[in-house]
Amino acid sequence: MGRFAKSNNALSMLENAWDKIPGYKALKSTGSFDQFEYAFKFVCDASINTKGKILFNLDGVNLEVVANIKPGTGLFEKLPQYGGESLWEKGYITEWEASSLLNDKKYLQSVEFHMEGKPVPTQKVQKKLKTTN
Amino acid sequence: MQNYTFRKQIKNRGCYAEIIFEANLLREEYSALEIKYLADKEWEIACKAGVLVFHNYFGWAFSGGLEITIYEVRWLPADTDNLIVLFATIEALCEALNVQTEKLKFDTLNEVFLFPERRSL
Repeated sequence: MGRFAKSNNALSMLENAWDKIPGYKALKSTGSFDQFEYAFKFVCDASINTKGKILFNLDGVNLEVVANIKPGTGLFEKLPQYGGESLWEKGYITEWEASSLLNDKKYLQSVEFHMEGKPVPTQKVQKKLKTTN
Repeated sequence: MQNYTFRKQIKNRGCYAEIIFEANLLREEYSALEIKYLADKEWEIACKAGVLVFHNYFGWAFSGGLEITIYEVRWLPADTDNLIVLFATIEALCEALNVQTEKLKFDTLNEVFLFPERRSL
């Protein structure tokens, strides 16, 4: 992830980059980000509000899982198709993130998906998901 | 190289840390502990504390010394903190070096980490 961010001159999620987003650190210190979902959405909103871009690397992401996540599904929601476990427990966090972005028009305007080191049009990703499903 | 993942969900919160490491028994006759830390600086103190606590708990179980190398700590914003990394490091070493105690545990019902007093082990 760090390499992907570096090669695209972006901030990586795993290098305390979120701390650099205006307002994140202050909110974090109040305990408002106990849930990963809130922190993720805050960062996406902050990217939009500051006219930034969300670069999303789809390499290694299980597109079949992404295609089968119903819009609005919570990351920690227990799901019968996973034996009562959540997407978080199954380790499908990136898949949930991808699904959240793909199912939100507001985020879609700011997302640039990447595959195999290159940007891919969102429509192509959506088409791929339809054929995967 | 070994890999240990600590992943527990409590209600709508996650607790996560993944430790990529190597644990080698040394042939020295005395009980030396060597720690090489090559991972993210953010987790260095917690990780090293985990190794020290493990050695305090179970150092007696090894006749020689112990060399621990931490290559990587995988983490998530919101879901990882120092206590989680510390606990995951101890559990990682317990598993790798085949020493177990029921007294060291993460009680998901009461949302507490349980660390036994060393001499009770």
